[in-house]
Amino acid sequence: MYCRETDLKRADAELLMIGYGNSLRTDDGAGPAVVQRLSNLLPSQYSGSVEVMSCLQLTPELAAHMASFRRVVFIDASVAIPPGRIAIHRMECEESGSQLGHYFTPGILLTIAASVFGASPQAWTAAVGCQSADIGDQLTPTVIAAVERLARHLFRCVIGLIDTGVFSPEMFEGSNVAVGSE
Amino acid sequence: MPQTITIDGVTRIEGHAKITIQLDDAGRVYDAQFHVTQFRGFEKFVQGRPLTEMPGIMARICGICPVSHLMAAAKACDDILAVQIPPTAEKLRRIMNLAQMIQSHALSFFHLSSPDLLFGMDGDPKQRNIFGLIRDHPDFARDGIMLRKFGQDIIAKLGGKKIHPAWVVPGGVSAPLTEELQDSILKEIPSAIERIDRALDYFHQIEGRYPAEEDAFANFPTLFAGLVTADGLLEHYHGPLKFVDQDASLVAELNPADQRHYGSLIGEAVEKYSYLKFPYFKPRGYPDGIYRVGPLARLIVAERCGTRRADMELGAFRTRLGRSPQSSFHYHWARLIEILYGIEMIQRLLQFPDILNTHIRARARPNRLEGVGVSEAPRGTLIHHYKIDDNGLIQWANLIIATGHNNLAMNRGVRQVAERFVDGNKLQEGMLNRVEAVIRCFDPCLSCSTHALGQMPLRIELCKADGEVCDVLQRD
Repeated sequence: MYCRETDLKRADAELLMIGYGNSLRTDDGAGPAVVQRLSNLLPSQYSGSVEVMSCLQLTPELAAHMASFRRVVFIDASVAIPPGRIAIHRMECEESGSQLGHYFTPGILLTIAASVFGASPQAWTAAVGCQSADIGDQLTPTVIAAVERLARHLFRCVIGLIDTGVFSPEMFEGSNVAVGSE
Repeated sequence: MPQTITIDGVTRIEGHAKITIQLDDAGRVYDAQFHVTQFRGFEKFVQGRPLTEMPGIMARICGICPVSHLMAAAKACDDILAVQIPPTAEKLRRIMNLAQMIQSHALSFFHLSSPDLLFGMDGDPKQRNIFGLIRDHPDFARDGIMLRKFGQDIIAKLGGKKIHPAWVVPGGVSAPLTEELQDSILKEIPSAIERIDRALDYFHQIEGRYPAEEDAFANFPTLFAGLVTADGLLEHYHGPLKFVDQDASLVAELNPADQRHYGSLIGEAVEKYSYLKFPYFKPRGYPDGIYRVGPLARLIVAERCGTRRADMELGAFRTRLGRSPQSSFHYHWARLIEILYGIEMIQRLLQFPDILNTHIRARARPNRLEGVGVSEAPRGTLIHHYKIDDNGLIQWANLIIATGHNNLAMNRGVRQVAERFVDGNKLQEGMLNRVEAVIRCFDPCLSCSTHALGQMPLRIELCKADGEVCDVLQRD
């Protein structure tokens, strides 16, 4: 029989924000760009409770890392919303599906964190509508502006979390419609 | 009336491919083909780029095994510079190469192939996937994730990031190892050994359940190729390239200094139905010069591993399967043995007295106009070959990717499995899963970009020659 481990991680840090995408495909790099901006905005004294990280794609070992946090935000570029728009949604585990290559979705990572590592962080997706995914290492002006707005919004949410213990990123630009535009 | 079954696209592999199975009038399989339907253009678009950019560009070929391309590219550049890199730099490159192998093998075995082994080839496809795995076998899934994390963390610690690190450079590496990083990697070794030991124990409980698959999963005599050490041991970075026959007897060998002449042994054919080239052992012609590379091939070309635990496991492997097992089903076990070897070898390399030396790069201008780099990627032997002009700009490049070496064997394997399991008169999902599963044994990596990889729903149609659909299987 296979052995069960007892060293499951406990969530002891407040917030993990993961920006992912390919920074060599123009606006697909919006997620890492938001993280880069956040890392400049966040004061160093938050480093023990808030972590930002960027990666090219989501990989399964991220689930192990997520298990140390109470909350996770996945920041990505999207072609499903208009360029420059921002959509923030609360998300849940993915409970089914049969297809898998080497690419993992936020929902699968949440499922792995819960089933394999015994952790159930609250999670959100924050998407930036992209205008171009052509080859290039510069964001388009529309997305640069959206990246700045989203980074500042998430920064304010972090301040709120530290000050009040409340984290509500989906309350964006005075609305809970979860969509912001220029 | 002749019919064709198309599996488009193949699931749980990296990249985009389809399989077609041709049936005769009686519904029996008479041919099958594995088509790689995506196009890579790296050999062409690197032309005109400076030599020094090649490792960084070539690493971008793949988000799964960038380190492998980085390694072969850097070795080709070393050859053009005509430098011998410092011994410490070679050890550090070896550590990163082994870490890459561990993380790649862990993903392939635990998350792409183990659902078939744990739930059965005929298991419900709604369970036989990552969700079923983490629901019913969470401890097994955790070990797979943590082994992959072990490899990925080493790559990130050495190279600064997990994917596309730029730390391996022509002439060596760009930064030395610190004592702090050395300690941090060494302290993870015991738990990594525990995890792979558990996985091997578990594998031994289930691997005997698949005699039909062992018998028919690309089970035919071929040559095998891979690097070995000068003493004939398992090797992944540098050494003679050895070809052996189905009895593991030596057929040909290219010493490192002669590997510029790989073209004397390896020919490259093309077929209209696939963008993936068909390398073959040239002295035997095409397609008779079929050979295999990768974990199984490496264990066959090597006399032994050279580390204690891996050699014990290799002993069990050979006791059960013989010196030179021909079934590609055994790639799975070979992959686990290589993970064990990789962990042991990383520990050994980290304990060399010179591992913290700061002389880690040899510097030179190009001293040759042509260079070849050969290393072992997780999936097999990887060859990069560049020619430059007097200004150091790339004029021509040729890449022979590990998956390409196995192309002939994958095609023949698909046909063998189809002949054994597919009944053209009535499609069943389990039959077609086996056709895909034989491909997964080789763990082919076809992509140059993985971030955009989306869902790959599977629809299989059985059609008459006039296009009339006789039967359909749909997998969402």
